[in-house]
Formats: sequence, structure tokens, C-alpha cells
Amino acid sequence: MKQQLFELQNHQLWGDLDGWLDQGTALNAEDVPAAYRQLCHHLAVARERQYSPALVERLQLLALRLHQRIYGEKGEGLLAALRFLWQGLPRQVRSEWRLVAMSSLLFFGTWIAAFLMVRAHPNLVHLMLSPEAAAKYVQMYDPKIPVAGATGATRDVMMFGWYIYNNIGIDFQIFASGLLAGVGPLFFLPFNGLHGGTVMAHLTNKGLTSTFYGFISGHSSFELIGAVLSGAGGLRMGLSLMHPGRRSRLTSLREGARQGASLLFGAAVLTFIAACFEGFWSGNAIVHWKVKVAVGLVFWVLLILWLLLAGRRDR
Amino acid sequence: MKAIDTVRTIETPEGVELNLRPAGPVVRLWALFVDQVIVWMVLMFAAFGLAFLGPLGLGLWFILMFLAQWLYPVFFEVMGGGRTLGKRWLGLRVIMADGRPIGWGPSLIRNLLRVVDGLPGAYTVGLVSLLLTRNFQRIGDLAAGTLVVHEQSSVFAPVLPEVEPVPLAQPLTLEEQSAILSFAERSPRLTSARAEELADVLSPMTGARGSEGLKVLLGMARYLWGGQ
Repeated sequence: MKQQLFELQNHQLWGDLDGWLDQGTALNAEDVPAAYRQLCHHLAVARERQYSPALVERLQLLALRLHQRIYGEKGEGLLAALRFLWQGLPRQVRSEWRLVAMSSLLFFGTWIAAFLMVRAHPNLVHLMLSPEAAAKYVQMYDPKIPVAGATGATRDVMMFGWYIYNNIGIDFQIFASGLLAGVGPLFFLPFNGLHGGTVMAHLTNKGLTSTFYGFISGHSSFELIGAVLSGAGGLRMGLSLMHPGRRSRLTSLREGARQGASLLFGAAVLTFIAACFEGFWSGNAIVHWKVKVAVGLVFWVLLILWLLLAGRRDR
Repeated sequence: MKAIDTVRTIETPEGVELNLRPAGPVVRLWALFVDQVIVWMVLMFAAFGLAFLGPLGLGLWFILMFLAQWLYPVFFEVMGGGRTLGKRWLGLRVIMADGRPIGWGPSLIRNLLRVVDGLPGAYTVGLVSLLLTRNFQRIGDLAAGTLVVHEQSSVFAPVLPEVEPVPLAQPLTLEEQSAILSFAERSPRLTSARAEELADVLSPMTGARGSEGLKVLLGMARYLWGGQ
């Protein structure tokens, strides 16, 4: 068949597909797949018969655009994202329980160890903190100076912005550095754990319990579990790269990155919630500190129960 | 395809092959540069505006900075058909390695892993990875399974010059026929002197030179295309 006849017979179909891509008119959605398969056939025929390169290029571009439209992932939507957070994330955490446990151990283990050691030997604080830094922490939680965030709504927003920028950024960094064979989380998690535990013990030694525990308890569960999950996500990625099993290394890395990123997504949301509490609740001086500690403990229990139990039915 | 071309061919479930053209390091660095300029301009102007709001403004600026640093490329890649503003400017597009449009998950992965690609500074790891992989993929692209390709601008349907069809004097291979057609489609965009000069190369076949030879060659193209 000559090219002219070929074009004459089929240009209606190509024009319709083009119109559908641009405006969504000219074709009913249910007719598109059949028309697209027809177009693919035309493309193959045009190549085989060596019709002019311009025609082949035109057809292949049209086919590429349709391929992207037809096989494109439909946006998962807000509802699906919320469902993932509510049910998918706990499932993911449980299926990766070894890595989550490892990450928790690296973080909470070093936290508790540092806390106990500095409680027993207060001078050990200087292993982790410079004298200036230690003094700054003491000053921050001195009851005579107003607590951070307690000086009005605009200051609350400022701290909220800072917590978002800094804390979620740290989550992202821990995750990404996991690609380096998992070395990132293996460093960042113990480092932050030692630092946190040391500060906690140091302030307890100084007798600043009411301000310190009153401030941190409200958001601690969200923020610390968020850090653990982003660490677990990073470890997942690094481990998939190091230990691909029967898959090719690249396939394994891709799969690991996908799973790790869903853990990270959960971690980022938890850290965001933590920033909300930290900005607008933790600093308030109206509620008694013991009430705030109680609220914080309730959140810990609820979060752990959620991670253990949610999404077990209804698969 | 020639061995030295950087064309990636994907095969669709319908059994046809589609060609993608991965973009190299230089043009991608330019796109990155444009993106960075835009982001920092916005952050700077926002800083001037928000400075009037005191601590409240500072808080909002921190949030803006977080969004700009981490989520700006993700948002534009997913909502803008794989194009951040810089990529749009330079005619690039991020797609999945199998040709599909990019979604939230892969975009998040490839952009967060800029942290690794940026090591130890100035995107060194990313650049080395780009040069070592067949399809110019940095580490983030490898982990997310994505590809940065040159946008293929839509091709207009060429019109062959209206001349009397001339039957071929001798049999030609399909490739040669295709070359003649291609020349005829391109000829309206050439000056007549250049078109005639090119047609003269085939004067042994057309049997004429100059404008006469061009006319015969275009006529052959018309004949090959299907004119009777």
C-alpha cells in the first residue's frame, strides 16, 4: 500500500486520538483502547514498510503520549493516602518489625543508656555536650524564665515553622543516608539517642523536671516514633541494596526504596503532628505539667496500640 | 538506531516499540540551576514580605523553606507532568523508566535521594552515576526507577510539494525510498539553491541537474508517497 492511501485511510483515527488527548473530545473514553491498539498497529506497519520518517515519527509520538495517558497511574488521591496512614502504615511497620526493632534499639537503647549513665555519673554529661551547650539547655528549661513558646501566638507559629523545617528535614536525611549501605541511620540514630538521653539526664540532675518533662512529653511519642520509622525506612533501602537475595540488585533497591519511602511518609506525618503539638501545646504554661505528662503517656500508649493493632482485619 | 545514539527503546504491551531520548548531565544541570534560581528568588522575596510580620513571618518562612527545599520538585513533577519549572524551560521531563508518567512515590524517592547524589558536594556522586549509567540516571533515578528525557515536541504533518509524480527509473531499497521521501518533506524548508544542490547528488538517477533535477526527484517522492 502506498503511503498516501495509508494516510488517507487512517488520518481520521489519528486526528480523533490527537483530539482526545488535547481536549477529551472526538472519542468516547471506552473507544480509546481499541483506537490506540489500532494506532500501534499502524505504527508497526509504517515502520515495517519504511514510510517517510516524518510519518513514523508522528505516529510514534502520538503512541507515546497515549501510552503515558493510558498506563499512567491514577493519582492515589487523598482518601487512599489517609487509608494508607490509618491501616497500611501499621501493616508495613509490623511486616518490617525486625528493622523497626533494630532502629528502636539504636535510638531508644542509646537514649536509655546515656540517660542511666549520666544519672549515675553527672560529670559524664561533658562527653556529649560542651559546657556552653549544657548551660544553654539548663537556661532553656529554667522555670524562672518563660518556657519556650509561652510568649504568645506569633512565637508559637515561629517555633512551629522551625520544627517543621528542622525535624522533618532530619527525618528525610536519615532516610536518604540509608542508601549508603544503611550507614546513615546506623550513625544518626545512636547519635541522636545519646544526645537526647544525655540532655534528659542532665536536666533531671539539675531538678528541672517540671518544665522539661512538661514540655517534651506531649509531642515526644510522635516525634521519636517518627525518627525510628524514618531510620527503619533508610535501613530497608540500604539492606535491599546490600542483600538483594534472588533479585537483581537494582530491582531489589527499587523495591526497598518504595517500601522505605512509605515508612518515611508515615514518619513525616508523625513528625508533622509532633510539630503541631510542640508549637501550640507543649509550651503552654496554663496546664499543669503533670497533666501534660499524663497526656503524653496516653499518646504513647495509643500510638503503640495503633501500630500493633490497626489494619489487622479488612485486607 | 546507531550504536552511539542515546535512545532508550521501550516495548509497550501492544507490541510496538517507542523511543525515548534520555537527557545528559549538562542540560540537567542547567535545569537544576534554573530551579535553584527560582526557588531562592521566591524565598528572598518572601523574606522581604514576611519580615513585616515578625516572629509569625519567620515561622511561615521556615515552612516555606522546608517546602522549597524538599517538596517543590516533587509537587511540580507530579502535578506538572514530570516537569519542574527548570525542566519545562529546558524541554526536559521526568518519566518512569517504562515510559509511564511519574507518581508521588517515585518522585519523592528520587528527590529525597538528592541528599546522596549531592555527596560529597556539588552533585559529584550524581554526576558520576549519570556518566556510568546507560540512560543518564543518578542514584535517585536508579532507586526510583525514573528517567529524565528530552521532551519530544509534536511533529507537524509535512506536505509534499505539488509536482507531477514520476515513476522510479530503477528499483530502490526501502531505506533509499525513505530517504527520498524524507528529503521531499524537508525541501519546503530549504532554499531552492540548497535543495537543487542536494538534488544534484542524485543527478545520475534523475537524469537532470538544477531545478529540473529537483523537480524530477520531488516527482519520484510524490510517486513513492502514492501519487499516480
